[in-house]
Amino acid sequence: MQATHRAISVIVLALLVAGAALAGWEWFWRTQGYEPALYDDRDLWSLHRERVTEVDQARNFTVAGASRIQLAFSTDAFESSMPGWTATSLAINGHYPTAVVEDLAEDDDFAGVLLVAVDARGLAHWYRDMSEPWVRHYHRDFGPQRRIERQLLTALQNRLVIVGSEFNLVRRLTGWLDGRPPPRHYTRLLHDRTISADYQQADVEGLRRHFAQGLAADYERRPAPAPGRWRAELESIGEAVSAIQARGGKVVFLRMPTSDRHWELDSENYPRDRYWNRLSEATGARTVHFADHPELAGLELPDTSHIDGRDRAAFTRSLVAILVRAGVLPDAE
Amino acid sequence: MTFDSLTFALFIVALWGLVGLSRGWRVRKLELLAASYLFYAAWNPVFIWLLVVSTVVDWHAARRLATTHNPHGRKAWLLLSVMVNLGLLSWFKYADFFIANFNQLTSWAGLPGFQAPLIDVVLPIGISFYTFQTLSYTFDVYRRRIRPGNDFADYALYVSFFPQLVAGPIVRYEQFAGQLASPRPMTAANLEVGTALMVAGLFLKTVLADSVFAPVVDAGFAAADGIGTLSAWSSILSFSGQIYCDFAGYSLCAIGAARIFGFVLPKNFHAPYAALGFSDFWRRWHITLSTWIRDYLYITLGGNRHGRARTLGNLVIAMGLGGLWHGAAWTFVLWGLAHGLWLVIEHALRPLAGRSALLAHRAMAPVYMAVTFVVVTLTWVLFRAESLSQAGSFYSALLSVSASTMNTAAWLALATMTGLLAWHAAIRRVEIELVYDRLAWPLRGVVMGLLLAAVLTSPGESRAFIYFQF
Repeated sequence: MQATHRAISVIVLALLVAGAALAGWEWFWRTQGYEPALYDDRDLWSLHRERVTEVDQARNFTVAGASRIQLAFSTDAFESSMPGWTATSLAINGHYPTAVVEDLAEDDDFAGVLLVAVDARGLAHWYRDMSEPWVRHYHRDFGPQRRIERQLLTALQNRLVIVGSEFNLVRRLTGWLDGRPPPRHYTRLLHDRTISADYQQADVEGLRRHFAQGLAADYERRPAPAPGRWRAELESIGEAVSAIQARGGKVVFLRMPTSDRHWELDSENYPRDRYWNRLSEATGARTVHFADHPELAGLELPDTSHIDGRDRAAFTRSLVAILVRAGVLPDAE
Repeated sequence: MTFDSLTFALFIVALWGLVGLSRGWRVRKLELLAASYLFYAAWNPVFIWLLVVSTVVDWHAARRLATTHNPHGRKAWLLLSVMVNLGLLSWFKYADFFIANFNQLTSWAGLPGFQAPLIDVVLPIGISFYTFQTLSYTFDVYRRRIRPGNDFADYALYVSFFPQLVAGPIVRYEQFAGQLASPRPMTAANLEVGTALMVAGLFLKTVLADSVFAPVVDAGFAAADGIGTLSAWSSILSFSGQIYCDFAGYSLCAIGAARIFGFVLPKNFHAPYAALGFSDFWRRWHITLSTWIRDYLYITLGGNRHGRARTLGNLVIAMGLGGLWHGAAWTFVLWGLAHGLWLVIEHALRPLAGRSALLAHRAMAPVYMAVTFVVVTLTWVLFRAESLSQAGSFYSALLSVSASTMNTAAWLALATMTGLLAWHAAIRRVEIELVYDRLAWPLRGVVMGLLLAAVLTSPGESRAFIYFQF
């Protein structure tokens, strides 16, 4: 065989072998009942962060927060309730949003409505920098290549099971040796970076225990600062609120619902009258507490902290109605 | 742009098609030049100007160096090149390091009012590499080892050629200029070898470095304060694997990417963990940087021309500065100084080995290999640790005897590291490309296909190449 033909044969054979191996890997996991899924990362967050300054600021609704709002808010339900508006979720699972609020405040192009879903604990000094690495990534590392790369990755993740990091060959090898198959998630990341949870697929009792134990341990490790110190440390976030509102934007702090042992622990450690109720005065922003709104307080929280995906649209519509009544959003009628 | 990305796969396929279909060598070179700038801009277009400044300044400085005969004038042009390149490097890479140390000093001196704020400037990727590459050009012209180029576009391509732009190999002008003079053969054979090298490099990076070794390393160093002995050893041995597979993987990708366009870049690694001693290690590890340090730093300091004590001192200084090149932290400086010290000890012991038949016996080679590997591995602690205190905690865990267990991932990493060591021992005197050439073509296709499949089935967290931060 000629050298040229031989070289081309090697490459074609390699592509066939790789293609067959990939097809087999994909087929195997699909036969095990796994489906393609979108995975969140800092590049995907950055794509959405970039968007909040590109849309019409007069009709821009941006959500910052952690998992509670990420599982509860539906951009589709919001946009159908508020025609002409654009909703973007910058919520980050497991990360309180102070750094995101401060980042938007520093961005002169942002002048929309910012809903900050947070509790008194999330505003304490312990948690202020949690989302800072995401903000830093957006400003320092997110460039043209990462933008294109993330769009390609999203397209692949929507179509192939094996693009998910849980199906990494080495991880599956160690999982197989340990008798641990890939996890079957009861949550699903959607195209808008919100999450839909199906608690019928979850070990609800296990989750309730997990949240209660984890929260109790965290309150022990990071006790609530004295109310005076807590309020004093709100100064920088108050400045952020002022900056956004000075540009014509609006900031609303939302206390998402928690229930049962979770709510008891929250109330014991950060009594509402000494912490949350001082937030509006300290920052100049409006506040919404779920306990003041029966439509939020009455939501079922299977794991004591998050709502089921089936309640997302109802939650979002209730939230819109509350914000309209508060004068934050115009009446869509 | 990084080699382990979908974007790069599309980029190189499109570029290969474009260059392959274009007529005329000059047109092809201009396409490669434009593509190289696009490659760099894909990360952050703002920093293109740094590449332009470094290129333009050294181009003009070298031409003046060649035509100026006055020694003072020549020194001034060389100084301009050094100051511009090292000035850029200092500002972007070391400014905060210097400020933080200044602040520490003023605190110790009881002057807390003299605290300067940190700049927190973004480190442009590749700046450590392309500044050193262009400096090698002006140094060589200054020493009249080479004549400056006649074509600015060719020189700009030498500096910015995308395969080696952001993390080496650091190419000398004399290695590249000849290749620019005549059309490079974009043959099927080059395409095959280049693709094979890239696939092998990606396998080292995504499968071994990121999937096998990195999780064990990260878990170990995250728990450095309370880590057990066994876990500490598995973690640092895994880091030996990670740092090699990460950087050698990048270098293979770079060499492979150049090869598919017909260019040959210098080898950067050759079985470093099979080195017999530390001089041998540095002849096998990051070869293009260690030869740069030897030629432009060690020799400039006087090399071995001023007696034994000065020679050893020069070695330690050169290695310490080499450590600083890797990162703006004292851990890197100590890592470099430690390697300098190992070289000094080796120099001191070498006459002893010459006088003893036992020590010079071939059977001692595995012992030297093992000692070199263990000491290099222990020295990696300084390189990986985020602070001196973390390094201290890690060393105390390594040298203590405390109970700990290893999980499956750690056992897999150790087994892989053992395989890697055996592989290095097997190929320490062999050119890997010759081994590849001897394989039957169907076997080459199957092996390349399996490695590619492993790469594509290893998605995970996006981990930047470790050497991108240098």
